[in-house]
Amino acid sequence: MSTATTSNSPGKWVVLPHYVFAALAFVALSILLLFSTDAFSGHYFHPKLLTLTHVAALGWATMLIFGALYQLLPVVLECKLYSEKLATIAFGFLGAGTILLAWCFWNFELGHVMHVAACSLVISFILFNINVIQTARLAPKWTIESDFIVTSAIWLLVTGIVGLVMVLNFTMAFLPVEHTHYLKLHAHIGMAGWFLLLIIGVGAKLIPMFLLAHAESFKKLNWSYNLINAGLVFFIFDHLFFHTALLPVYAGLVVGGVLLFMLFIYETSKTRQRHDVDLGMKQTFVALGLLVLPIVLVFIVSSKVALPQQLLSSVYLVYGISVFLGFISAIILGQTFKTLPFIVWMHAYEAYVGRFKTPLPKDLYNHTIQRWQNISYLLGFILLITGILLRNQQLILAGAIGFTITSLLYTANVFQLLMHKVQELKPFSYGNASV
Amino acid sequence: MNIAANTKISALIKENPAAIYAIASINKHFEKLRNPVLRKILASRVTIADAARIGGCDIEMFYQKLEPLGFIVGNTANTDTLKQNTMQTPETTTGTQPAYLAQLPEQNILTLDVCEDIATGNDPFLKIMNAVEEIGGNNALLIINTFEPTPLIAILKKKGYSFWTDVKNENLVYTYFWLEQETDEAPQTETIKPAKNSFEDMMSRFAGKVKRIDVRAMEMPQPMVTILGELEVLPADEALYVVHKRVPQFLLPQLEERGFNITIQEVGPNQVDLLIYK
Repeated sequence: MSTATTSNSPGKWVVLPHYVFAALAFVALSILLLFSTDAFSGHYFHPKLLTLTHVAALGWATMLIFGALYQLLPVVLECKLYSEKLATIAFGFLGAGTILLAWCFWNFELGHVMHVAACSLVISFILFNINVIQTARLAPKWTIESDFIVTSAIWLLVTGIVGLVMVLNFTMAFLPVEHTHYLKLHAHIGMAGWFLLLIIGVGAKLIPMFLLAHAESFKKLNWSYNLINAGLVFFIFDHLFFHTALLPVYAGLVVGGVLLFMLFIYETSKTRQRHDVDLGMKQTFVALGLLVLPIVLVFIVSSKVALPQQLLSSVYLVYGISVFLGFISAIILGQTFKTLPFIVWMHAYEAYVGRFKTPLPKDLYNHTIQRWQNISYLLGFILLITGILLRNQQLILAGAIGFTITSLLYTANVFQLLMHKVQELKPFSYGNASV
Repeated sequence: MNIAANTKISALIKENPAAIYAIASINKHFEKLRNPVLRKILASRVTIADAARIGGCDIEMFYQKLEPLGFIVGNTANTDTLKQNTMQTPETTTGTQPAYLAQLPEQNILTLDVCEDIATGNDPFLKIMNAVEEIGGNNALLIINTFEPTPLIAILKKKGYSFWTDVKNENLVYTYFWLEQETDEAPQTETIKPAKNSFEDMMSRFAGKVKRIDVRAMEMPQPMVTILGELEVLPADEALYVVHKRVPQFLLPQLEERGFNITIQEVGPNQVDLLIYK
C-alpha cells in the first residue's frame, strides 16, 4: 500500500538502483585494484590509478551518496524531493559517464569518447544540483545541514567542470600550466568541497540520530562550515593566480573545520541514550579515526618539504588512497547498513506497522557477513598502505585481495537486503484471521 | 465492552467475532463483512456511525443486534464525545450539485467503477488512490460504488479534496472528488497541517483519557512501530500522548492514511510532544 501513502520518501526505483550500481562498482574497483599492483611504484598520474580513483569517486562514492541523499534529503529538510524524474535521469548520466570514463582512462583513450563521458558527468551533476537546490527551497526551515549539503553539491559541479576542462585540454592543450597543476585543483575541490562537506553535513544529522543523542549547540558546526569553505576558496585563488607558499595555511583552515566537526560529534555523543554500538556505527567510528591519516598527510603534501622524490610520490599516493579507500569507503561501508535496511524496511512494511508483527530493519541482513566485511576491509587497507610505502607488490596484492573479499561480502549483503521478500506476517488482531 | 457511535467495527470484531454475523444480519449492505478481505479493508476504517450511514439504517439497529452479545451501549454521558466525533466524519451532501461540478465538461470527469471489485472481494483502495493522483485543477474523479465510501471521503477530505455524493439508488452511489482552486497550493508543500486547536485545548478535551508514552530512547523505526501499535488498540474516544525527539516525518502520512489527527507541540530543541486522536 506504500504507493498510496503521502510519505515524503521517494519511490524505491529512484533510490535502490544507486545502491546496486555502487556495490557493483566497488567490486569492479577491487578487481581493477588486483590488476594494478604495478601502478603504485611511480607517479600518481598513471592511467590505472586515474581509473581506480574515478571508479572509486564516481561509481562507488558519488553514486551511493546520490542514492542515499534522495532518501535522506526529505528527512533532513522535512519536505518532498523536488523531482524523482530528474533523479532517475541524473542516475543514467552518472552511470554511463562513469563507465565510459573508466574505460577511457584504463586504455588511456583521450579522444571523443572521453569528451562524451565528461559531458555526461557534468550533465548529471547539473541535474543533481537543480534537484538539491529546488528541494532545499521547498524546505520549511533552513538548517546548517542544508548549508553543508547544498554547498557540497555546488562544489561537485565545480569539480566536474574543472574535470571537463582538463579532458578538453588533453586534445586541445589550451591551458597555460602543466596538467598536474589542475589535477590538484580538481582533486581537492572534489575531496574537500564535495565529499568532506557532504559527509559532515549528513553525518552531523545522522550520527547523533543513530546514537539517540542530541546537539546542545550548532556553533562548532557553523564554524566548521566557514573554515572548510574559506580554506577551499583561498586555495583555489592562490593555486590559480598567486602561487604563494601559503598552502599549508589553507590546509590548516580545512583541517580546523574537520576537527570542529569531530568535536561536535564528540560533545553530542556524550548525551547519547544508546550505549550498545552496532557494527555499522563501529565502522563509522573507524572511518572517522581513519581521517587522521589524510589530516596529517595534507600538510606534507601542501608544504614543500624536502623529502626524497620516491618517498614523496608514495606519500601523494597514500594521501589520495587514505581519502578514497580510507575515510570515504569506510564510512560508506558502515552507513550503508544504517540507511539501506531502513529504506528497504519502509517500502516493505510501512503499511503493516502496528497491525502485524513486522521484522525490524536489522533483521533484514546478515551480521556475520557484515563483521567479516569490516575485518577484511581494515586488514586490506592497512596492507595496501604499508605495501605502497614499502613499495612491496606482494603486500599491495594482499591489500587488493582484502578489498576484493570486502567488496564481495558487502555486495552479497546488499543484494540480500534488496531481494528481501515480505514475509508471512502474523496478525495482532482477530479482525484479519480467516473465519 | 462499552460501545458508542464512534466505536470502530474492528474493535467490535476483535472483542467478539460473533459481531460479524450480528452486523451482517442487519441488512444486506453488511454482507460484505463476511468477506475477510473486505472486512480487513473496511472494519478498521469505519465506526458504527459511519457504518449506519453506509447501510442506510439507524445506529439503534446496531445496538439492538450487539447488546445480546454482551456489548454495553454507552450511557448518555457519551453523547458528548459522540457529538465531537461525528464532526470528524464528513457530512454527506445529497442536495444540489456544486457549481464547480456543474460547469465541468463531461470529458473532464474521470470515471472509476469499483462495483465489480467490491462484489468479487478485491480491495479497490490502491486503484482509487492511483486514480486520485490524476485529479488536477481542471478535472474531477467519479467513483461509482454500491455504497457511500465514507472512509475514502475522510481520507481525501483531509488531503484537501472536495467531494459530492449523489445517491442514484439504494445500490448505486456516485461520488465525485475534485480540487478547489484555492486549496490547490497549500496541501502540495505542507505535510504537517497546522492544528486548528491548540495543544492545551486538545489536552483538556481528552482530560483523563490520555495514554502517555515516551519513545525518545528508541532507535528508528521503533518509535513508529510502537506508536502505531498503541493506536491500533487505543479506544476511540481516547488520545495518545507521545514524547518524541523530533517531528516524525515517516509517521505523519501513516496517521493521515489511518484517519488520525495530530497536534504537535515543540517543547525544546530535542523534545516534541504529540497528541494523536481520532
